[in-house]
Parts: sequence; structure tokens; C-alpha cells
Amino acid sequence: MASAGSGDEKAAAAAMITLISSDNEKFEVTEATATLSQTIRHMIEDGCTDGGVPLPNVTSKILARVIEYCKKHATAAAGEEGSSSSFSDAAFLEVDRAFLEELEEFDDAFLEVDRATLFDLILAANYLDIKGLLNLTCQKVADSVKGKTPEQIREMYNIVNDLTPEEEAEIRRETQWAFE
Amino acid sequence: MAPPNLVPALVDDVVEEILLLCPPDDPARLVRAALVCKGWRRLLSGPRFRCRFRELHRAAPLLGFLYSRSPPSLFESATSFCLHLRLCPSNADPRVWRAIDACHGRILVSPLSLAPRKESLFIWCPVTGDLRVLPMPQFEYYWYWTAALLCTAAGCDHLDCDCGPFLVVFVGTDKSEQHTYVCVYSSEASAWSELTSVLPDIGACIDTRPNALVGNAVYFMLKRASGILKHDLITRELSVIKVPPAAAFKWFMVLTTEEGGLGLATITDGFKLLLWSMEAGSNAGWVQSRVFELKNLLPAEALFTLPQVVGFAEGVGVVLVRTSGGFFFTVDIKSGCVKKIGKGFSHSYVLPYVNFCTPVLRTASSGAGPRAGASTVSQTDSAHVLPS
Repeated sequence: MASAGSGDEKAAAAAMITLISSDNEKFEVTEATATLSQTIRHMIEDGCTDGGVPLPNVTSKILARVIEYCKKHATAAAGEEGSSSSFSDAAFLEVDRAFLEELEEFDDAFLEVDRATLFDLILAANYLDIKGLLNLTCQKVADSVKGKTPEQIREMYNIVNDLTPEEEAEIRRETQWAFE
Repeated sequence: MAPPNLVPALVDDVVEEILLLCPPDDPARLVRAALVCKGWRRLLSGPRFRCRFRELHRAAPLLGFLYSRSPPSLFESATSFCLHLRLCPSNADPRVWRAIDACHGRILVSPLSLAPRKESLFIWCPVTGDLRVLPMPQFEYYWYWTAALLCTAAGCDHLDCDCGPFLVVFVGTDKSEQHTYVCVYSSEASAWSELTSVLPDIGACIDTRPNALVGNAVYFMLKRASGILKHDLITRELSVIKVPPAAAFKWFMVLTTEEGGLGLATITDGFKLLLWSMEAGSNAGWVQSRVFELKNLLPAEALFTLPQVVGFAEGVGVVLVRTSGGFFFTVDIKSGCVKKIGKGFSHSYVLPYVNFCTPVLRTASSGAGPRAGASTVSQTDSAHVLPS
């Protein structure tokens, strides 16, 4: 089972997929990289990737970043699988730890973007259904609202307050403890 | 910073993914987010978010501690959740309240009274405001009493049962301290059972310190005793279990071990915190499982007199200890890590309050409460149901 799996993977790694951004830029990626996206994985399974995969919701700037993320994480996943059979337990753990640390560093650096890019990345991760990327970017936003007032959150994320003053007063009355 | 008009609008399901990742031990973050706009308010106070948030995070956070025994009970927050040190199911009620037990987000409270039979017991969830009021049992004989609150929802994972069915196991000892009785209130029957167990001459009376639920039995503390009281919920039998000699007649606390067995914690004259567990099988009996040298763990100013074990947070795995100087500490039973949690209280036991706290906004829903609960009343409406 394991050898058959890795054989398939080699074949899959060799296969290339073309992704086409909304501004018509083409990106050649390996199938292993592309299939971190569940959306693309389904398209491949359905055999609808000939002639490229148009992604009308993702600009080339954002798609380049998304591919950068997928490449790194696809490599890490392949590295982990490869290492499990060829190292002793201790060596495997060591390699595993090194991979995780490297990935963490990569993720931290990856998130060093302005708010508009972060939001575009979230929307792309959601559209392409890339769980790891969606989690990573959403966590950054969740962390950013720590200790912030509703006014500050609205300002940070350009949200219009459509609550009436009465509704706002009522919520504050019900949850007084959260505002002190 | 990017100009505001460059930030794209987030679609609702992405907002949900973001807000789900807020940590459970910062409930104020979610409440403040509910005030951002109508969409966020609706999302955060809806049943879908409530359910997904619990399923994602699994372990409910330790929101704070209820300091009890010397009334009124006080709430000391361990997170951004706050009860304003005011433990009372109704803003309008001037009585002095004490917390008797806490179970999966609900607190069993009663007003302090010299005529307990005229009072009521309140099952209150401070997060949702849900309140159930039940009469005290009317049997004649109790002078000292305590009670345990238990969730009885079938197959419950206790992630979201603070409105579900419950039992209250009430234990009372007569004035002569010779007889102890038990009766059980079932929320589904809305009634107290008959006096199900009578155990004559245990020679000790029931203590108000926290109980422990282990399997199908609840274990209660006795005052100045060498044993603990066991009430079997199935057979309804009442019996006394001897404690280890090192704990007999000392200040100790029953607890549920990590493995789900009966445990006990006490502090010896040598400032050692001892943990015991009750082993089953052929070697049945108490086995000392952990020892912590408090002299090495606590600051010098907390060691003028012998500290006391005053509580245990199941699931979180910390023993609560009160020391000289009125300090309260948690001792992690895995790592031995010690953390100061309170100071200056004179209370003699501490109930950890563990619950998820997602926004419950009556204004957000169109008439209906956060969940159906015909027999509960909301906190804001509760004044009229309180006996005057």
C-alpha cells in the first residue's frame, strides 16, 4: 500500500497544472502543490483542468502568494512522508521538529502583509478551500481584535455600524462586564 | 496602514471562521465583536456559532473561581469574563447568597437563612442567565445541609448542557449530628424524591465543602471525620468510606482523578500536599499518587501556617490551596506549577467555574431566547419569580 502510494505520488508530482488568475496570468504548478486546494483537487478528479484552471476571483498578486504557501506546505508534507521510512525514530522526530520549526517561521513571515492583502488571502483561501491557509490567516485576524473596542474593530476592518443606538445600548446593558 | 477603501469586505462564512478562532478564555472579545455590526451580532449569538465554537475548542475554559462558605460568595475572574463579585441570580435581590456547587456552567446557589425550609434553591447559569428555582426539601430533620448539582442529559459531552436536565442530591444532618438523610430532585419530574437513604449513627455531620461525582456515586465531605459519605445514585444507598489515616480528622478534599476515579487531597504537617486515589480490584484501597513539597513551591509569606486544600478543578487538573496571609493558589497536579489566583478572602472553599461563554443576546434574536427552555426564566426577567 505504502509503495503503491508513493509511486502514485511520484506520477502526481510530475503532472503539472496551469492556474489562470483573474488578470489572465498563468502559473504552472505541480499537482501536489495545486491539490492543497480542495476546490482544485475536485476539478482534477473531475478531469476539468485541461487548458488551465481559471480562477476569476483571485488576482495574480494574491495567487502568487497562495502558490508560495502551497509549495512550501506541499514540500513539507512530502518531506515528512519520505522521512518516516528512512530514519530511526529519534532521527525522525528530530527531522519532524526541524520541519515544523521551519514551517512556523515560514508562516510567520508569510503573514507579514498589509491588511488588504491579508483579507484577499483569506478570501482566496476560502474560495480555493485551502484549510491550512484559511486557518492561518483567520487566526491572524482573530488575534488582531484582542483587546479592541467595537469602534476600533470597525475602523480596522472598514465595517459600517448598522446597529441603531438603541440596539447598541441594549447589548451593552446585557453584557456590561465585557466593556470595563 | 492600508486606506480603508482597499480592505475588501469579508463574506459571512469567512467572518464566522475568524470569530471561531477567538480563544475561549477571552469571552469579552466575542462580546465586543457582537457590537461591531448587525451581521456579526446575529452570527455570534446564533445557535450555529454557539455549537461550532464548542465543538472546535472542546475543553471549556476555567472562567473564574467562586469563593464560598463565608457568605456572601464572591466571584474572582480568571479571564475577561466577570460577574462583578456579585453572586446573585437577580439584580433586585438584597439577600446574602452562597454558592453550593457548580456543574458544567451552572451554579447551585441558595440565600443564607436561619430557616432554610422556607427558602429555595436556585440553579443559575451566569452566562446565559437561565434560572431554575426549586423549593428546599421539606423533611423535618436537617440542620446542617449541602447539595450536589449533576447533569443528567443522556450521553452528554458536557460541552453545552447548561440548560439540560439535572439532579440535585440534597444531604442533611439533624441537629444531634446522629442522622443523615438524602433526597434527590429531578428536573424532569420537577419533584423531590422520598427520603431515599437513612444512615443512623455515622457520628459526624455533613460538611458544605465541594463533593465529587465518580461513576454513579456522589461523595460528600463530613465534618471532623475519618470518612467520606458515598451516595450511590442507582441503588440509592448511603455509606461511609474510610479515608487514609494521614487524612483522617484533618482538612482534606475529595476529588475526581484524571482517570475518573475517586481521589483525595490533603496537606500534612510537613507542608506536603498529598494526593491519594482509590484503587479498585484485588488491591482495593487508597494509594498515594503524588506528593508536592509546598515549601519549595509557595512563597515564604504563604507558609507561616499550614495551608489547606480548598478546592479542585476537574478537567483543568489543579488543586486549590489557601495559605496564611489569605492567599489562594492553584497547584497543577501534572506539572506542579503554582499560580496565585486570589488574596484577602476568608472563604473556606473554592468552586472553579468552568464554562464556554459565547454571547447570549436577547436583543439579537427575534423574540425567541438563545435556546428553547420552557421551564427556565431569563436573568433579566427573574426578579418576579424570587420569593420575597
